[in-house]
Amino acid sequence: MKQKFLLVFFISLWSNSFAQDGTYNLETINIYEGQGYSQSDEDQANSNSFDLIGAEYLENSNNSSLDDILKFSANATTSGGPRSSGESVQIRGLQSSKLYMYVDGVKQNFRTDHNTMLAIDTENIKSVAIDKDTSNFSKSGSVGGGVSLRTVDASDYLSGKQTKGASIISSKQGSNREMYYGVKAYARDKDSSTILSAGKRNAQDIILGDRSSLPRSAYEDDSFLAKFNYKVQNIDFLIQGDYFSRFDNVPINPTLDPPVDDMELNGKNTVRRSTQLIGVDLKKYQLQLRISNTDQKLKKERESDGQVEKRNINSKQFSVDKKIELSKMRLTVGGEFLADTLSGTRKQEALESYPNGRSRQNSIYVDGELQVSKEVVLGVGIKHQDYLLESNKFESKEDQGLLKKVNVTIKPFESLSLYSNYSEGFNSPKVQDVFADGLHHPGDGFFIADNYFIPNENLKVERSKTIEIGLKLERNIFATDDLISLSASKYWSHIDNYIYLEKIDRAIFDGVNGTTQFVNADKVSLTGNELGIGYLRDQFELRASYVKIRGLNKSLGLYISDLPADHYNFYLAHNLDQYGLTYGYQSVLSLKQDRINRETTERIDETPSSFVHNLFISKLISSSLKANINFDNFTNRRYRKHASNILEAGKDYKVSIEYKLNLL
Amino acid sequence: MKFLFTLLFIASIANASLPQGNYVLKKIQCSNGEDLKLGGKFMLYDVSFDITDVDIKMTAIAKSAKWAPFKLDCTQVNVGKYSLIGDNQYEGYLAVDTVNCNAKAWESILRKQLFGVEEQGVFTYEVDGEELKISNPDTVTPYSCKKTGSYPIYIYTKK
Repeated sequence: MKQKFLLVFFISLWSNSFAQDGTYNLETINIYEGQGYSQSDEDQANSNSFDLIGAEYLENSNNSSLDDILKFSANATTSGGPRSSGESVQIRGLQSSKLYMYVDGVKQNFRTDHNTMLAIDTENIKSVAIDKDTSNFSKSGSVGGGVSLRTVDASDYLSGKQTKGASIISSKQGSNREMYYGVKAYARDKDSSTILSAGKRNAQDIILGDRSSLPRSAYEDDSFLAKFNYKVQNIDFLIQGDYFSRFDNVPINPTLDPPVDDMELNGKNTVRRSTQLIGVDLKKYQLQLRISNTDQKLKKERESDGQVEKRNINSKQFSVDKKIELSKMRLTVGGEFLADTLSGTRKQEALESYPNGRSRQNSIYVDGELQVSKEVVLGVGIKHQDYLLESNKFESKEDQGLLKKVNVTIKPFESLSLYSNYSEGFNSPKVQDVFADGLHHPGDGFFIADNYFIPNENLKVERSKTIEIGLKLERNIFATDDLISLSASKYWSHIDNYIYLEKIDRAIFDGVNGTTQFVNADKVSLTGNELGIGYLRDQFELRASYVKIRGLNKSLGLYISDLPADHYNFYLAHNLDQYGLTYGYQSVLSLKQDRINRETTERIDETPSSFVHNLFISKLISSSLKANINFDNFTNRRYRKHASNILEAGKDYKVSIEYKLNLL
Repeated sequence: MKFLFTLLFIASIANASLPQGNYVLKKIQCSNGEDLKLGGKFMLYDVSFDITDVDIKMTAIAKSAKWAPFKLDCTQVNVGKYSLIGDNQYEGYLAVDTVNCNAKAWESILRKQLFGVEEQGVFTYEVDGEELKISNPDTVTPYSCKKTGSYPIYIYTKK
């Protein structure tokens, strides 16, 4: 009923817009699935497909995890329950193992089954770009897009002629008594800029929607970021170092909630990530080079016997992009070269479930955009990608692919864009997917046998083909200073060799153990519909969107059961610039998700519908002092996200105060 | 045939019966004193045993814990008849009635190794306050006690 209502509303507004001869106001950019984004912030190949969450939004809210940031996005969310240590980004229903994650252009490759958190201090994030498909050829290793984060620069804190300054921020969250303390120092002159940032975050156990406390959800984070930009003639140099650590005592699988006193299922965990990045931009030649080194280390100490498991990954990356402007054509030529080295130990010996190994992934691409006519823009791209996996226990494994993309955007009227995209994706299996080995979990000693990981040397590359059609309408409707935006899209994505975890449990009397193995499903399809409406007038901003995703494992005739529920996102903000005040309302209405595989041993249960309401207020008290207040889930809705086993946090408040002292 | 045999038995010993009531399985112990592990990190077992004047019914529920990485929910119901044949002994059987699992694959696994079923035979029972022990050295369901040449003893407590 609600869907029909929205559809009727949408169509009626669309019809009205054609019937009017308004004065167009195209100075305002309204992207209602990303917020406050300046188009210069990212230079994406095809902005039709991207969600963008920019600094204006992030600065006006309190975000202690990626989930806080992504809750405004209709297409991206996190799964894994309320423990941020277990959160995993999900875009259009695809889990993080099928997506790419980048921070300042550096690919984040660390992932184990139970540790999917992106190890970063959210206070240092200034923008989040969400690629909903694989048409961004400058990023690799995905069958459905991914997330690109950018961290803050000195210029984000300095305005006008200001040359140096410092800021102190402190925030508090109610549901887990989280405290954050951060300090930044920054400076710039004609040719250089520097920012140093340090942060510390402590959180206790989360109070859930049923007012119970979620045991073992406390954590302690430390972060440090140093970024130095300088210019020599027409060359921009970047030197950057980033460190993040988390200590927690979440369960071995933080998405589950085992008994607190079960010492075998609980542990003490340490995650450490450090990145060093050097960048060179030759503006004259429109050439950009990046080289980086990332170390991520996970240490788990089982509480029952103090057994320590270590999982380490070192990633080295080199990427290059060159833009070429021809008369009506813009070309981007680039490449990305990645080398990962994995090692795992348990009691100083090799850890079978996280084997030692190396992987190499290379991609080169050409991406072109041609202005065919005033009304038509044509984009084409081609990309070669290959990978190689090596482990001392198995024979090496390699494959390659040639990926294509085409997109057409037609603007029959100034206010209307019709677009169609086709893009292909390539996601190679990871070392730990192919060569997983060792005990997964013990049986019950009575009936159910122990379960062991077994390698799958025949694991193939996931390959996807996605087609999307859509339209976007932007125009005045009631006055010259308003803007209505309507969008609608539909996509079809087919994934060959979809990698999933096949778990076969066996009875003890079978005489053989159960097995867990990464395997390929020949054919998986994902389809979705997205509708959006936005309205801007003077100081008011209103947005609503609807997303529906369906997924089917055609090989097994099963649902892709961890897809998010059909949902509506609502956003209303009032920006009283003259008072430095912004306040508003945001909510997510999730419908019942019952497309699960009841006759299997999959853990995923049906999820009832929920309507979660949030309020936010941001006030610039003086030119130096700013306060943000959020009231999340203020109706204390007891709800859980689909595919999560634990309730989300109950009513919650978040308060932050930032003091900035800037000097000329 | 089994049914006729049972009817004849019931007719001959009309007044004798086990202590009637509803019991829950406390543990299964091998006759050599070793306890069988029933349940584990991820599985919870709940076995009830209901005794009326001539009927016995066992309901065994095996359910994965909410923190288990898999979801399994099986219920097996065994029903049977019994009749007392002497001090602390009865003769009877316990045959499978239904097996239901959320995952159909597990129904067939369970049917290959049914829980607690007994063919017609002589059982020894012992009552100690609220506790009831039942055993049959010739059981067709010896579990892992078979490895040590022993047999299982079901130890129930009254609900």
